[in-house]
Amino acid sequence: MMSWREYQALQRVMVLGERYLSYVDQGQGEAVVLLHGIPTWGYLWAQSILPLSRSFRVLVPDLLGYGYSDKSDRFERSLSAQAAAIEEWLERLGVRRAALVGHDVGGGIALRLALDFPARVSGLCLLNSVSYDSWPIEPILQFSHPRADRAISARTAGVLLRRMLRLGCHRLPEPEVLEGLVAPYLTEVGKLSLIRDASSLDTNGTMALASRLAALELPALVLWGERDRFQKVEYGRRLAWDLPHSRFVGIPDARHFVMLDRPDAVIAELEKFLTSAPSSRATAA
Amino acid sequence: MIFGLRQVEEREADGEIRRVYHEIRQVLRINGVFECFRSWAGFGSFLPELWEELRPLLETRHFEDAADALRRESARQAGVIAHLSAAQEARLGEGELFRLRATLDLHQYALPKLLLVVTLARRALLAKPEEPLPGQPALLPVPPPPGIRRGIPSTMPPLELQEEKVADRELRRLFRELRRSQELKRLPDLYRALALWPAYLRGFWRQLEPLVGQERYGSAVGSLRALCEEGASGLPLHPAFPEARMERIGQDYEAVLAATEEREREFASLLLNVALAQGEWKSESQLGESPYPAPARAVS
Repeated sequence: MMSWREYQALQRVMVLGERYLSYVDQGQGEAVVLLHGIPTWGYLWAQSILPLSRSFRVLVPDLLGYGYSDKSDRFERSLSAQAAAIEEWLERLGVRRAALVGHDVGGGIALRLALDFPARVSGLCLLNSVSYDSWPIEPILQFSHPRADRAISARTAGVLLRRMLRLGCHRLPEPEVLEGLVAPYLTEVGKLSLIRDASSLDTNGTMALASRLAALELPALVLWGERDRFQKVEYGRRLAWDLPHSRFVGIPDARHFVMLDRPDAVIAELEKFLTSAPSSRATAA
Repeated sequence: MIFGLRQVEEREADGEIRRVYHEIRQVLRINGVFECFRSWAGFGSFLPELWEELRPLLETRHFEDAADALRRESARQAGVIAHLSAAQEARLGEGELFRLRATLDLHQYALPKLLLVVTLARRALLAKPEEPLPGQPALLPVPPPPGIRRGIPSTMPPLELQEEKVADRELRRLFRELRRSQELKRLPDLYRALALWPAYLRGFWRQLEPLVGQERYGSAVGSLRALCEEGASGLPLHPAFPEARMERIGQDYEAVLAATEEREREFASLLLNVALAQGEWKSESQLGESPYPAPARAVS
């Protein structure tokens, strides 16, 4: 498992207007975009990148306001704004079509992007994603008051984040992984950015999509750590039922951070989904 | 109270201090409140009162130009002293290098202004009430001097600082070494910012430390301070904050003055150090340019 410092050294950067986005770009082939959620960053996918990059071009951005992307306190962070930024980034990279793999808030962004820019998306995989009214969850709400900045120091934020990450895992992650996941948020600037990220979480962002799901003509995989306390498995099953070309796969003994709990199972399911041709993905679904 | 031991962090600021912090960001066009202000804020109402004296001058074209001249001089001096290669040695990735450069740009923009601010503060503290400084006109120019537009440049990164009490043992050791070798009670913001890339800061300090004791380094710092003094004396307004006023607000005049002078020395060195750091990828002429040129204000 690479350290977060090693991961950081892999990151490239793209300027998008007045903002910048950090990302990892590994491998060749059909493009696969891995989107993290809150309160993590691209490093969440560190164990998945190497195996997937043997067959695919794996693109892993830090969402705006997260990780080592722009953390200025002056831009919108809604699902639609994030989706538009990812779309612009793909355009600038010259990626015409990509499969989207989204976890948590990243799942909401992937869904939004697939609905708003269907020509850009070849397939959709949602892992323990936010959906409908499943979010924001309690541990994140403590960050979401706009003035939480005054009540929570960077050090306290670190304590809360570690606790939340432990709660989101079925088995405790390696200490280095845990430290890596919280690393960008241990400064006052990082913490404030996380607070702004948390403040931007809005149930309406996914409720507005609910009635559009049936029109999504894309192969989709709904992959869920079945013991998730944050995004309950019932939401995953509901998503799979509403998405017309989807398949639900539950992963036992895994909670919210399913790619940390069961990396091999997640990679195997992703490879199976991604290696099937787009047309056969839809048929299989 | 010893200057530097009590600081008001941005997130702790309340009332008048919070208001002044906002104005500092907007008027100086800097995305963060630097340590000299956070420390001055530890002296009760001193910062808000000093700010009211300084602010009209800090948003003038004259002030911005004086800061630009300091930046150019720091570039010239750095070119004479050495060419460092800390970033190359640290083998930073593309993203890390991008953010390191942006961070150094922020400090390169801020430090000439901060050096001028502490010099102006020291001169204000030494000024006699109702009297001009020697050789200076007593009256304010009429009409008011041309202003620059307020507001933080849209692409300027925030002032991001590593916590001083960081968990990483090696970084803690480096912090101790920096404080000890420079006889600092607190780590300057520049080093706390560079500590976000520990390998870089380590290499930078390893290359910088032998230079700091050299005569040409000392003379470059002296030259920056002299230019700053000249720039401050040539500005169109001369704020005053005499001892009697400090007594009225119940703060320790000597402590504030001593500490302000300490910051003056420190900022001159830091300005040179930033130029030395950026000399790794910028030519002297590029280094001399403001990374965030200030547009004129439409209405003064």
